[in-house]
Amino acid sequence: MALRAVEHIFTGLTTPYASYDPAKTNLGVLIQQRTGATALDKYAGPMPLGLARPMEASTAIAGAYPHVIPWDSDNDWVFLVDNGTAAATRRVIMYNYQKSTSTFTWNGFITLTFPTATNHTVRGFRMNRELYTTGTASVSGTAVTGSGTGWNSSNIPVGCRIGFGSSDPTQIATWHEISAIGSDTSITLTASAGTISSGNYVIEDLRVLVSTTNATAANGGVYMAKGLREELFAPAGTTISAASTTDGLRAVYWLADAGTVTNTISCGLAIDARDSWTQHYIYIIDGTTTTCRVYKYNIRATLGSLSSGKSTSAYVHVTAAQTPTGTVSQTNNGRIDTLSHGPANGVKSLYFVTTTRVYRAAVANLTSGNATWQSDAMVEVAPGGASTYAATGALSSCEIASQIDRLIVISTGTAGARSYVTKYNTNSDPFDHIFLVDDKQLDQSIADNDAVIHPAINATAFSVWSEGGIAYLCRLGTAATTNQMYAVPLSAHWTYAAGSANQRLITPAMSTPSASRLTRVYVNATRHIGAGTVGLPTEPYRMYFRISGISDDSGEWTLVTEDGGFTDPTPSTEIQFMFEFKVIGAFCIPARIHGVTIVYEDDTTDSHYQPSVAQSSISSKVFAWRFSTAFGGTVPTLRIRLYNATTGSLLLDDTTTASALGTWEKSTNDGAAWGSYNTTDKANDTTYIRYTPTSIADNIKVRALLTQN
Amino acid sequence: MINITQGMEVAELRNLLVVSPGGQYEDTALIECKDAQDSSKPPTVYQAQFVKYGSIVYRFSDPRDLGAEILKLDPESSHSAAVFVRISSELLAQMSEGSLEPTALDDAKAKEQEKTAEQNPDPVPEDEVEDLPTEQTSQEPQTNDADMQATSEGSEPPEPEVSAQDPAPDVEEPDPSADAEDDSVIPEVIPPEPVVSMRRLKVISRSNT
Repeated sequence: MALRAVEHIFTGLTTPYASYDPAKTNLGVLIQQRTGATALDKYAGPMPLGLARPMEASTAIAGAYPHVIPWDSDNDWVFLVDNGTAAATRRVIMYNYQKSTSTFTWNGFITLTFPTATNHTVRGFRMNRELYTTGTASVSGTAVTGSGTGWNSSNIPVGCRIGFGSSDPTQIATWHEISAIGSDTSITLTASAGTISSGNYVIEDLRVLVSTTNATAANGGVYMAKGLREELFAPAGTTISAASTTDGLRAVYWLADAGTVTNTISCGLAIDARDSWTQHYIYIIDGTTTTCRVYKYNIRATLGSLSSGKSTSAYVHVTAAQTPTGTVSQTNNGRIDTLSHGPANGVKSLYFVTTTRVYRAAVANLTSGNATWQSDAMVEVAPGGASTYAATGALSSCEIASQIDRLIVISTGTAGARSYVTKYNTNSDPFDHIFLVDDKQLDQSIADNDAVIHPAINATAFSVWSEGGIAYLCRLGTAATTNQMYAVPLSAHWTYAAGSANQRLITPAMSTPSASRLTRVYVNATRHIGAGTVGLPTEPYRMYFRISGISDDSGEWTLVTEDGGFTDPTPSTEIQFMFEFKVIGAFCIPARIHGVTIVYEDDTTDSHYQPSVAQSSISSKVFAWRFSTAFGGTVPTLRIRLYNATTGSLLLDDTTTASALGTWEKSTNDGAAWGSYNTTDKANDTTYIRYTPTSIADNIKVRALLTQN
Repeated sequence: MINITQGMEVAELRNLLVVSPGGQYEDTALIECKDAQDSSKPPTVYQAQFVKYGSIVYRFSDPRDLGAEILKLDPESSHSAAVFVRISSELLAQMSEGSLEPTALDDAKAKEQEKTAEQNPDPVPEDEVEDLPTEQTSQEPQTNDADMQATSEGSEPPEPEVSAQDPAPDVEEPDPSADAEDDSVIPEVIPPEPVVSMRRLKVISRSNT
């Protein structure tokens, strides 16, 4: 049989895995096929890392605490809050992240004027975007008339933007700003929108929520800016005024718990899903040790009795204090979600960290005066146990990666402390994954061109938000050297690749006609990105194959061994390969696969032998081959099949080990002398083997096929 | 400190006018403003520095950069960042010339305070009132000798500035038009010193004149 090779290069047609097509490259959710000018630019794999440098924008603002709102399938809005020196104002930055190009675009910022003019430090930051599409709306000039709408009673603030013709904001061509809301069915725009007949519309209610501590303690607490729109985040910045005595404006409001605020030691801000247009709760963890408690606010409450921008109408209640083990961090600590595993399976809970533990509090237990609001806690145990990695004792924050149903637990980075991705457990099992390293690389724009961007720890904490499987990691530095944000396709990690969100790379079916034996598969991949001393290796990958169930994606996958060999499968007419990638690792730099080649033996004469006319004999019915290529060791079992060349029927099938139907012989002197066959490798260029069947019919045309068994 | 005039336009938002009383305000003090074209609109509140200079004040985190930009707009600005830059520049110039004295920093600060006082003698305090100097914390009515003589002679004394029944007035809303040249009037709130961080510089040379 001859050695054949079939190659697939990742430059052809692709399809999302959800629309599986065996004729195309199938891409998991975070898997992309990229192209470019050079061969190295053409590859497939998890999306490359994205990088933003807030301190190198046209207005340098140290950004922290990313909050991400998906805009469409390819774009995310990414917001950061001012992490600079405490001041009486705080700025909020907006980026757009395009996933198909791994590119952050800095849109600009807004400046929040707080109703208190003393210095604030942001401890918790969230954005909130709600889309109001109830009923229909028509427009005449600046007057918008609704039908079946409830604009006023839904507490839509002035300053929001409204689009007509669709309830999908991505389909809106022209947005208009709301200057007044007269009633549930009456809106005034800042400028004429012409005449639009009644139809679908969408109002985008965008808000900023921050919890702060203040140089004057009682000036801390929860602040909300409402009536915002994307366009306000401009390069020159837009200043949002402090509120005064009127609700429902574009302004910064102080959501106080009392006339003299007691919510003054905020550790973070967790936001729940909206219940209705008048009820939407947030939770503030307050107090780092013995006074640790949780405040609850309704951010869609009508703010009555406003005075100097302050109202207690949003305040709901506070739990009693319950001391946790460890110290609660004040770096955007607290996240609400529902995990689907472990002791919290199906229970909506507030997750937060102390220095040594991940805590869980069922949201249902966050009731007024409850002194046992904490449900349980997970002790920090690094993968491999304490004898492999000492616990950091420096946990800083946690986030929930919903796509893989796991927690991302971030450390302070002090002394290079690493971070984790893990299930939630209360039985002291080790965490599942440890990732990031402190290699001290600086990812500022003036770094060496050969260096490879990656989220190095740099002895600094990260803050993280996970959206659509992408972890947006922002290093909490305040200088151009250390304040960067990375987009990492964390949920493409191989452990979770077969999950509900498929994260695999699958080749098209590769044709292997007449394959009699699969020999080896070779992968062309970039193993080292960058160059020279500052280049870095990619994370590894693993490869699988299948030779059945390709057309309908029903076939089981078999792991290919490290040497690219196969565990003796029965070949078929086609083969397909699948890749899974490690992402949660030291550098988090995903692998890049350029191509894959399958090498196989077909059903023609084995490539180590050449048919020999000189040593064969039609009259004696002897079939001979020259031993042309050495095996490099013991000759494997050979198989001879004689076919009726006319009818294709099989006349004889024998092997060198069975020799049941004929005689095998060998010569090492050009056929001068023949001896018993042996499995010694080729001796010289005059080595021949021959086979003489014991019995075969006369007067038939015969095709002889010599292959490995 | 920022000088705010009642009725002035808000920088970059010309439709808004200041309704808070005029005076000298802390850079970050909150100023109430109203829409000039539509008085029915509720008031908005911005920081004094934004009212005066606009959003540029939020585009620079480093006070040196901010001060430099403000000085381009207003060379005589009393914004703390502008003052910081002026003082720093002056001291650096003296050091370059070799004329830096140990008292240079204090002199520079005093010069700035004088300039600020000249521009606006009666700054508006942000929160609580600082204690007045002893002479003005007295609860006694402020009358002069002539008035007392007139009283003893039975004529009606001129109405004292502070009624005998009233305590000394709080200084929360001093009259910006008060006579700055009246020696008996001591500034009710000492203007805050500009935030200046300077190393004590070694005098390299000194000229005896």
